[in-house]
Amino acid sequence: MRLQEIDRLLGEVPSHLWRDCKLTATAESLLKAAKHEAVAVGDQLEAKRIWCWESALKMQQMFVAAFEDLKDGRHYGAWCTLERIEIAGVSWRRHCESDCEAHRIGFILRQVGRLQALFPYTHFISPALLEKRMKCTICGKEISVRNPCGHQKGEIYDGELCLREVVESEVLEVSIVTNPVQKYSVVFPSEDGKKGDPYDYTLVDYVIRGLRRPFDGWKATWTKARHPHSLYSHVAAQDPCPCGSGKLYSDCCLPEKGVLRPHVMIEFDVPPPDDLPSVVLPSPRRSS
Amino acid sequence: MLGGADQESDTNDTIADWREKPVLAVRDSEETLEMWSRSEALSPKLRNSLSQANALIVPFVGYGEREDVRYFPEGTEELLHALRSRAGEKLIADICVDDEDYQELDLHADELRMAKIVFDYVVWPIVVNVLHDLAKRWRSARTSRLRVKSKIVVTRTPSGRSVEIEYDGPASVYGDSLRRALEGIGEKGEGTRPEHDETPGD
Repeated sequence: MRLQEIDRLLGEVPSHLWRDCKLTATAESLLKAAKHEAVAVGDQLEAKRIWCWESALKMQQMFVAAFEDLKDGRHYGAWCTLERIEIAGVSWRRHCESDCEAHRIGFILRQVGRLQALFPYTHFISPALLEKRMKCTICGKEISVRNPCGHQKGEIYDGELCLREVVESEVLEVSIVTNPVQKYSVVFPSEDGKKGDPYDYTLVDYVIRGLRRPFDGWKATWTKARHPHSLYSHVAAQDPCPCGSGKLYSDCCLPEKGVLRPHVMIEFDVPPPDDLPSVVLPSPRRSS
Repeated sequence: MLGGADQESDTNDTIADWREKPVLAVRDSEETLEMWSRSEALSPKLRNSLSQANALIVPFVGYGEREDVRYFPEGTEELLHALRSRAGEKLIADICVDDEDYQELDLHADELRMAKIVFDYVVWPIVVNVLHDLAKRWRSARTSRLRVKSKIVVTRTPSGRSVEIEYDGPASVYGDSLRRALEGIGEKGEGTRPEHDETPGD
């Protein structure tokens, strides 16, 4: 395999091929060797270009893995992989914008955001971390803000991303938040003291069922719609309205045609399987 | 299609709750460059060197019950580098901390919290340009909906006083909002304006 071949494969997005460990290992070792050569002759631009390709390869692999996890019902695992792609995408956008569409990374990052929006997770555990000592991942020197080592965090040097390795830190507090820096720490409330996953994945499951391949396009339009009262038969007229308005059900949606709830329209670029229903509703017990 | 029938509105609701309206608060301040550069938390050598600066990145002091903790937000290194790269345009930028005391606080929210800067009115166009460029770069790398929280103190304004400007809103209008506030301070020559909130037009 040659470098041009990797470029071609990245452009064609061969999701089935990236499952081939041997091919992936070959591509990775070829990129590593090419980067080594570029660094040896001081070609920083080429080394950076290869870093972009390496990142593209990883992001494509992760995207396929997340898709397969979702197909198999491993929602939280897929969520974490999508988060890793999102984080990788921050550096990608900064350095590789010109390759974005050629290697389908623009597509991946858009779809990652769309998939994340379908998940039911809303609360996360987040620490406030005081980072006391850090090291530069390029030169290994301890960070000195007044006399910097010269490597800027987030830049690429010799085909490697410059980061800060925290070597001493202190957790000041841990909070439950709705817009965390990292979204790995999902809160899983227990029911009756039993561990489990109480979330309703109807939305994300519906989309994944409708997709034949990970790189088939789709988009969601978020609106609101009246859901049939029959879904809320467990809610009494004097209970809070399931629409979340804070009013009584009897004074809010009960006299209307249905309960006003978020409504999502999904459009698939490739026709979904015939057995995909045209309408699905969230689990009533978990939707309120 | 998901959900029931009778679509009613197009609200673009998503899981993320995003407050669109930026808030800009302008208020008088007692802070000065001298106050920070003479801080007892600094070594005598550093105190001497900071006396030349007309723009200082200063620490946030106190977090919850930890009143003693002094910290800088993530991205401070980058901000200092950007300010120092503009040296020579009247700007002398520095950071108000000894090396061994520098520490960053990694906060919860997915937002850009700028380090606090205290600077002379005369260099505000340079400082605001740097802040604008930084917010723009982070916004393009992360998300167009990136939120910025920032606090700056402008000293030696035309009225001779210090003014604190606090911003909390979208990165997209951050630079313009600061510019408008500072132009307003210059035109009116005021530093005594009472604290108020504004919602910039764009």
